[in-house]
Amino acid sequence: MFKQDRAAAAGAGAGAGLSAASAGGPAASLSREALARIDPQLAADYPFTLNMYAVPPRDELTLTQFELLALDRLRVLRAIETARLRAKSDDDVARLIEPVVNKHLELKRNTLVRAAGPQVLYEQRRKDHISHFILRLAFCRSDDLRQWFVRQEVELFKFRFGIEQQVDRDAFIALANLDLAPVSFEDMCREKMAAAGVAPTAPAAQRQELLSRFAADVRATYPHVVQQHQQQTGGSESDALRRAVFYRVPFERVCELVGRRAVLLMGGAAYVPESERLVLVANAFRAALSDSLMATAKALPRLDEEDRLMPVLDSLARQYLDREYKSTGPRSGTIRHEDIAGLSQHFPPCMQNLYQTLRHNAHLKHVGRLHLGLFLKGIGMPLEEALVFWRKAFHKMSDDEYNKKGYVYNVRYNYGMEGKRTDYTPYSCAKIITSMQPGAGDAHGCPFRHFSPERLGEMMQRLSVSEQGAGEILRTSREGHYQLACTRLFELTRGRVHAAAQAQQNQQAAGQGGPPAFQLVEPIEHPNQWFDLSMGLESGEHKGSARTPAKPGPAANGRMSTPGQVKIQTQTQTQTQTQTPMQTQTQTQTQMDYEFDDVDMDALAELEREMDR
Amino acid sequence: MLGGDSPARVRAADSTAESPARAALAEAGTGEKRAGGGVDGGAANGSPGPRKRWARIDSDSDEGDEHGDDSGARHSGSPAQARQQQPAVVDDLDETALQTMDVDAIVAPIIKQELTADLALLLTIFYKRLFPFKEMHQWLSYGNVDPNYFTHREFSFTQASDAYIRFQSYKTADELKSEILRLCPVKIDIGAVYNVKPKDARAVSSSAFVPLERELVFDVDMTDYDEIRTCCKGAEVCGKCWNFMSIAIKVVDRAMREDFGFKHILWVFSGRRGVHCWVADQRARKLTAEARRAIVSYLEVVKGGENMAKKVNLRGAQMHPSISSSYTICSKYFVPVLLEEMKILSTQERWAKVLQLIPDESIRRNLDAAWKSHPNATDTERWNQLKAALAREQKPMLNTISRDILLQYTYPRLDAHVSIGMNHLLKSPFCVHPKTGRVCVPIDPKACDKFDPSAVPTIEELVHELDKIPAGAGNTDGSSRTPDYEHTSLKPYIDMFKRDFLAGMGESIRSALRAKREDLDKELTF
Repeated sequence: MFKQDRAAAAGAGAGAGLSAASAGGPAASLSREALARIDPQLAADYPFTLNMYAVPPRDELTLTQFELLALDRLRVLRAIETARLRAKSDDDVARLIEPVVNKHLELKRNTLVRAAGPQVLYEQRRKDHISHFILRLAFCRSDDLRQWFVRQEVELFKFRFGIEQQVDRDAFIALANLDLAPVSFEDMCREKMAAAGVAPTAPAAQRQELLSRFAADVRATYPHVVQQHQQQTGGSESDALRRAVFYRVPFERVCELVGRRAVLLMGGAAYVPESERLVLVANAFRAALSDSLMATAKALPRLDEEDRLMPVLDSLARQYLDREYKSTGPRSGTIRHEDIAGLSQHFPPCMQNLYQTLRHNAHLKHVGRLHLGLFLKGIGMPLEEALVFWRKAFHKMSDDEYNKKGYVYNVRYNYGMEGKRTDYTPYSCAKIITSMQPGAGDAHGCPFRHFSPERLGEMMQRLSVSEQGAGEILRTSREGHYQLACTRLFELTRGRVHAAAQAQQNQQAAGQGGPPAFQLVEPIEHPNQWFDLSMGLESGEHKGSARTPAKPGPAANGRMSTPGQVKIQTQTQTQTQTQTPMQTQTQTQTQMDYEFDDVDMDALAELEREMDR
Repeated sequence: MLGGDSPARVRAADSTAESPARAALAEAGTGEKRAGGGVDGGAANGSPGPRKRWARIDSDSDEGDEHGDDSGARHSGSPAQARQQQPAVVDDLDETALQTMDVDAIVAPIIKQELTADLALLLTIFYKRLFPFKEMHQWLSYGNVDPNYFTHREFSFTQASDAYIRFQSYKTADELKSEILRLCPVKIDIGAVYNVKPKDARAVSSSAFVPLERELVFDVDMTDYDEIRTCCKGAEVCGKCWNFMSIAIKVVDRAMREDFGFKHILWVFSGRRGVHCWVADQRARKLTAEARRAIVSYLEVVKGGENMAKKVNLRGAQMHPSISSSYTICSKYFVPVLLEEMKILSTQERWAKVLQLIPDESIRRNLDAAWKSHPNATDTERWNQLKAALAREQKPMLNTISRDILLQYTYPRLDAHVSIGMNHLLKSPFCVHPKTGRVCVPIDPKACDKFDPSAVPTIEELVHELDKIPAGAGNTDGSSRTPDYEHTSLKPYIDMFKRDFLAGMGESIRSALRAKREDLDKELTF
């Protein structure tokens, strides 16, 4: 009923829009007043593509719609997560997620109100609004879920902020009430003089010296700001500085910029240039969303939706959860400590490095032990064997010292027998790459991320990687695609070792010819995945890892990787045949399959079919 | 078991000095039942004897290990679990062992390398008469603006038996003192302020027990400099390498004060080969983990583990003002300390390490050849050649290399985990380092160049000084008008703690309270 009203109102608005357009002519941007003339409802409810989601929607939905809207947004959020893993720069991320966002959650900008019609804009923004709130319900219930959801939503917000029109950004910020007081370079100079204890009445020479040094500091901190202002208006550097606008905020509000040393700090205040305003806005968005999620979590039990909504919400959230490596393979619990030396050829480079360091030094520091220990647990080494393995590995240490240092405790901890008694799972690549950065004396880390190019080169030489291949891997890791580099290394080393075993599959796959490539069914995202793949190749199974046992379908499909270009082969689903624009989508899909084997895949597929119709 | 030989060894030792302090302790020992426990309790409990136990502490109590290595799992364990680790040493004393102990024998002169069971006795005297409980309590109460601040603070203790007791909390300074006298810990750690009294943490679920606030802390340890220092390794320190600590203090102290606007900063000697920093401003105590991470990353310049040779990679020729201020500090030390004293370019083995930081093969080869053919050149000459060789190249990438090398060899190396984790522990100021016996005294950042770690008083020196207090000047139970520390070489350090740290903080707290009260007054006059 309400929907009908809406459509009618939108229709009327569209009419008004047309007349306004003919009167005013095409404008580059559209003021809120103009938008209000075209469609007052749109201007009142959703004046921008950006939304702080402060007000919950008041709509009626069928249960199916509820689920479909949520799934669409979930696809986008998951694509964002994957893009963040794969790409380094914001631009690359934007490029990767744009097609997915446009497919599932497109929001047309205000300038398109006439071309697309205000009701389309309204519907799109309404869908965005509702789906956000549905996922809030699904993702408010644990710390992990909340964190994940906030991270992806902030990322989506930033992406949209980036493509929104400047006028609308400004208007959005004005409306969002962010409490930003702009300061000029002169204001900053005054504050600097006060901080340095130089009175405005001090000798001119003294002031001059302080201020020229300060100007140099400001230029060094914000080279792009000065450049930009100079490009826009010409003039000297100091003119450009004088025109620049900064926001003075407590440094705690822009941790991201502080961590990157992208702001000047003075007495606890950070001076944020206008170009980095997004960080302030995004942080306000993040803070508001985190608070609301906590509030939602508290309110959820009172909803009394046990039978109707809860099952849906559960299944939505579960698609994120449980993305852990579970040792379910046939080797589970059968690996003995004396097997490790023989198996180490199947270790991924990070674990091989740890294992060799351990062999060499008869010692490993804490995080290294954690990584290798959990990895070994993941490949199927039971606690009793692990205890023997680690004791033997630390052979230079006396029994007494070994016991006293708590290494036994450490090993038992990994197996959930001590401490929090959590059955810990091995670390994924993402975790190894992003958390617990190696410090002095640490051997852990992702070789592609934490090794110097020389050291990485040596490693590849030891693995007898061709010069061309090594160059490619170095380049890929330098660009920040650590997992792709690792995947490539697998293809080049493990692929060759098992070329014979694969020959047949390759022939089938290669169909149209091309060089015989040693294909991988999925990108390396977990050290244990490397191990499983490598072992799988050896035993000739040639299918996915232990984590995807139930997944039917073509395991090795037939795309070639052209030399000199890294292309990840994914376990493509039959319906996704399109190549490049769909690649992100495909990868996301694959990752899902890979990581969420607890999800009811049939139900998902069912939903998907419904979507396609 | 092993403990069997220990009383015999102690008895066999010379007993020459008639020490009032120790005599007093003998009383305390029988009276309080705990004092001697450190000596024989272990044997009674069937754990290895005292000597062994101290050896254990020695071998493992490197600050670096504590935070970065082995204790990782323990430090993050749940309170309930941490308590499970604590053996029942404390309440389970063997009375007969106490009686058979020859107290006089313990007065034997103590050799530094062999701080054995005697340390337990020295510690009891130290905690009883010297440790500044009152001042520590005053600090950690922060003017009692929040009455829960002291009571909800985590203390944890490492005992001689290596029992590790986490999540303790106390109502008053006296309660803390009597508990410390009872446990006689070799190490006291201070943790965060929690939402629940840490002692009651067991009563609530682990997710409902969260750290709310803690000082922003930094831990700089000499082991992280092992790859660059040429004078010492591991636990050793000398005047040359102590310069690294001076640089760290100056760089971090400046950034904290000028960039972040913090005022109440306490620098403490870690007892052997490192320094700790406590930033105690209210704003610093309230920082989120994210903000702490940002600060660490703001300060961090030397990055990467053993597999990364070049650890300083600043982008571009222009340095952030904070880094360029630090660079100014670092460059003052580079020539006199790294080149002239440590001689990092004097042998091929040493200069190879420096040269591998240059990403240009031909420059590396040329310099290596030139230096080999002139074995008598000084390090400073070689450094100038290196700079000239890099400057000759027209590639902007190479022009910043000498700067990066300088920073890699001088810039502070912080233990990030300690600073970021709110629930991480840091050794309390005024503790005694169990291996060196030195007290973790405050360091004046303005005079850190003059700080000499080998001149820091040791526990045995201090106890000896206590013995020399003329009769009537002090009182053995510590209740005299002038505190005992006034008569020892600990005095200047405690005075500095009160004058430079507590007094300033008191002023800040008072003015904050005044402002609050004025606000209230304004409301009331309406």
